Parts: sequence; C-alpha cells; structure tokens
Amino acid sequence: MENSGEAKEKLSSIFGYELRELQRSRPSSTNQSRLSQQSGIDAKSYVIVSQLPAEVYKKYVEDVNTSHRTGFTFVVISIVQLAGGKIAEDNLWHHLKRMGLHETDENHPILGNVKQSLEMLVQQRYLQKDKVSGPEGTTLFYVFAERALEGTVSEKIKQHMTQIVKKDDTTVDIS
Amino acid sequence: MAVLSWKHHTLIQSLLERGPLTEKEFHSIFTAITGENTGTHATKFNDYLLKINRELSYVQLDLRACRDPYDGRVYYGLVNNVSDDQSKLGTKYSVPQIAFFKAIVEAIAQDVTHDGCICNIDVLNIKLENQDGSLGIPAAFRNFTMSQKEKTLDQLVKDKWLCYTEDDNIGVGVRSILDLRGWFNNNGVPSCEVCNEAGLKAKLCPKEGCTVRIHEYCLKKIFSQKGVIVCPSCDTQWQYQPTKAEPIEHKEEETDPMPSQPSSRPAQSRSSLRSKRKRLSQNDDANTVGCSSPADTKRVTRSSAHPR
Repeated sequence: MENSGEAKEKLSSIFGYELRELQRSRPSSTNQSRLSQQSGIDAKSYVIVSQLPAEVYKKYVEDVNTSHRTGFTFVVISIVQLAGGKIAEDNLWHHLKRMGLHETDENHPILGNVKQSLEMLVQQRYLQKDKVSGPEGTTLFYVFAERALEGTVSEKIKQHMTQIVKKDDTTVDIS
Repeated sequence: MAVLSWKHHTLIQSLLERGPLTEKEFHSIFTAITGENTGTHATKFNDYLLKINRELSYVQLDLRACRDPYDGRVYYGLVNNVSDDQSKLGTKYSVPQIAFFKAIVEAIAQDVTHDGCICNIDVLNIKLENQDGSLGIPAAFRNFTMSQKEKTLDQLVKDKWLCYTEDDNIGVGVRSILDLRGWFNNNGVPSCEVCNEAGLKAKLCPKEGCTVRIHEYCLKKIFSQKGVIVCPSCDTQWQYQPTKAEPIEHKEEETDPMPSQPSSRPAQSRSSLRSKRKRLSQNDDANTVGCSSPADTKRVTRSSAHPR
C-alpha cells in the first residue's frame, strides 16, 4: 500500500486517528505460510486508533451502546492470556460458561448470539483459529492474533490483569 | 503546523463514533472541552465548525446540522457528500437490509397524507424488490424473514436512519435527513418552503393545485412571528391551530443562533446559499420569540383563522 503514507497523515491531521499497520505474526496453518512466502501475499491488517487522550475519548467520544462488545473482548482476551496465549476451544467455552455465556445461546440479553460474538473477535484479528492434530484427532485452538499481540494492547491487558489478581483472593478454581 | 487541534478532533470523532448528536449534546461537548459557552461565544463555535469543514472538504465530508422533522430538534452529524463505489463499501448493512431500508423510505416519501411516517405493520409486510427493477427476486431477498426484518428495523432505528414516532409508527430518522437530502429531492419529495429541507411531516397549502409544503414546526415559528400564515406562493391564508401543550423540549433549548453553514456546499442545491442561510437565522430568531409568548399566539388564533 504505497499511498498509506499520505492516508496516514490525513487521517491524523483531519480526524485525529492513527492508522496502524499490523503484520500477521503467525500463519494459522503450515499450508498458508508456504503460500505467503512463495507469492509474497501481503498478510497485513489495518486498524484505526484514536489519538485522543484516554479520558477525553471516554468522556466525549466513546459510544456507550457498544461497550458491551469491548467488555466481552476484554474478558475473552484475558482468558486466553491466562492460558498462555493459546487455549483449546472446549476450554475457552468452559470458562465462558462460568460467566453465563453459552456457545449455543442465540438470545443473550446483551450479546445476542454468543458464538457470533466470539467469531467477531476472530474477524477483528484479536484471535485466530489453529487446528492442531493430536492423538485424539484434530483440536481447535484459539490463539492470539496480531491485534492482541500488538504492543499497547498487550501492555494494557497485563496491567489490568495484575490489578485484578492483586485484589481478588476469594476465587476458587473448580476443575 | 497542525490546523486542527485535539479539540476539533474530539468533536469530529464524537460524531463519527456516536452518530448524529442533538444540538444540546454537541454544544455541551464543545463547552466542556473549550470552556466557552455556545450562547455567549457563538462566533467561536462557528469558527470551530468552519475550520473543521474546511479540513473535511479534503475528503468530501461535511459537518452539518438539520432538524428532526417530527419534533423540530436540531441535530449535528457528519455526512458524506460523494456517492461513489468506495462509499458503498462503508456500510455494515447487508444488501437485503439496504433494500428493506430503501423500500421503507420510498413508502414514506410517497405517502399521500404527507405525514412522514408509515405504520409498523406495513413496514414488516414490505416486499423487497430488486434495485434495478428486474423481475427475478434474488434468494437473499426471498429468505429475508419477518424476524430479520424486525431486527433490521430495530438496528436502523438505533442508528437513527429511521425513528419511532409518537403514535408508534415508523418515521424517517435524523441520519436520513442529514445524508439523503439529495435522494429526497430526486424522488419527488418537495421541500418545505420555509427551511428548504425535505418536506416530511409537512402540511400542504389548503388551496387546490398549490404545491407549497411547510413543516409543522416551521409553521409554528411563522405563526408565532407573524400571527398568521399566508402561502408564499398563492397568498392563501392557512388555517392554523397551535397545539395547546408546549413540548418540553422547547423549554430546554438554548437560545443559540444556528451556526452559519459552510460555503463548501456542492453546487447541486436548488436555491442560493445566501437565502438558505437567511431563512435559517430567521427561524432561530422566531424560535426565541415563540418560546416565550404562548399567550400571544392564542390571542391571535380566532381572528386570523378565516377560511376563504
């Protein structure tokens, strides 16, 4: 994208948005990595981030009607983070179930279709799906994609997680 | 040297993220970040808007104000001035959803009573047609179920493309007023004589054959200003009964003059920019008068309502 320089500059000067280029860090399966190396397919994604200070954004810009999605994103990413950046599909749903989010729920009062909400995170490049073959057959794993691995995002997650862990000493893990 | 500061950016981003905002909300953001009151520092607010629009014109966007046709409230929003292929990509709605929306707006525009809305049930029964009018109905349209229609309707109202009117009908939303002005023009919706916006929820001139239309809230203003409504085209006097209950909104409205519209308007507007701006500022003067003297309008009613 040769013209991204001017686009970046205008997005910043006119709107106060930063155009961030994210490189696809890990291919989702070995087949794809060979493909992109051979034909040089650009495995990039772009996100737009507001350059306003966080308090200003929160007070005047943020659309409170979509904050449920941000909350869900944070919850899922935290779960994957605690699992070391990679979690089996069943395990993820196990944890979500404990919060009242079920894979088959299509009429959740806030999220609507829960499974679709998770799919959105894959679409938005927070997560990607990896099929891993094992002794019992193939298992689907959810793995961090470039948007969750990107500097500021992963920093903030770690910060929040540390805060939560410090405060919360009453949970008991029932395996 | 940057032309726009973070303050300008906050105003722009708030409209982009949250959609059209009421005058009150938008003014309060401005006041909060600049510390200036829009009433006493109207010029500063106008300067901000002019500056923003100058920069936005590079990408052919416009920061515009409009009135909700049902309650006359002013809204600010960001509008795309160009309808090209790239613009068509900028929507989260699917093809059948857009066809559904189009059918609803068409039905409202063609509504003979000019009430500017259609019944909820009629909306759900709307048949989707192909955009190019061809005979075969694509599968996506055929499978557009009732519940999908309901969900789409809900989403369209949330995004302000449509709105629920007082009597539980579906009306045209503020985003449509902002964005679709050209479409209303091209599809035979005459504009209100007073404010030049699409004449939805407008009263027609009682004289047969006269095509003049005026919005309810524009009528209210003229009436409170002049005490009588005379058709600007055929000179017929209009019968006008002001509603007895003053809506609460009017009391909340600040007495701010409407900011001057930026001059970088595309040349397709029918009337000259000058007269438009004049009319707009007239409306706002009338607004301040109207709020404070309900007694006057009542006094004049009986004498002026002479049918010809």
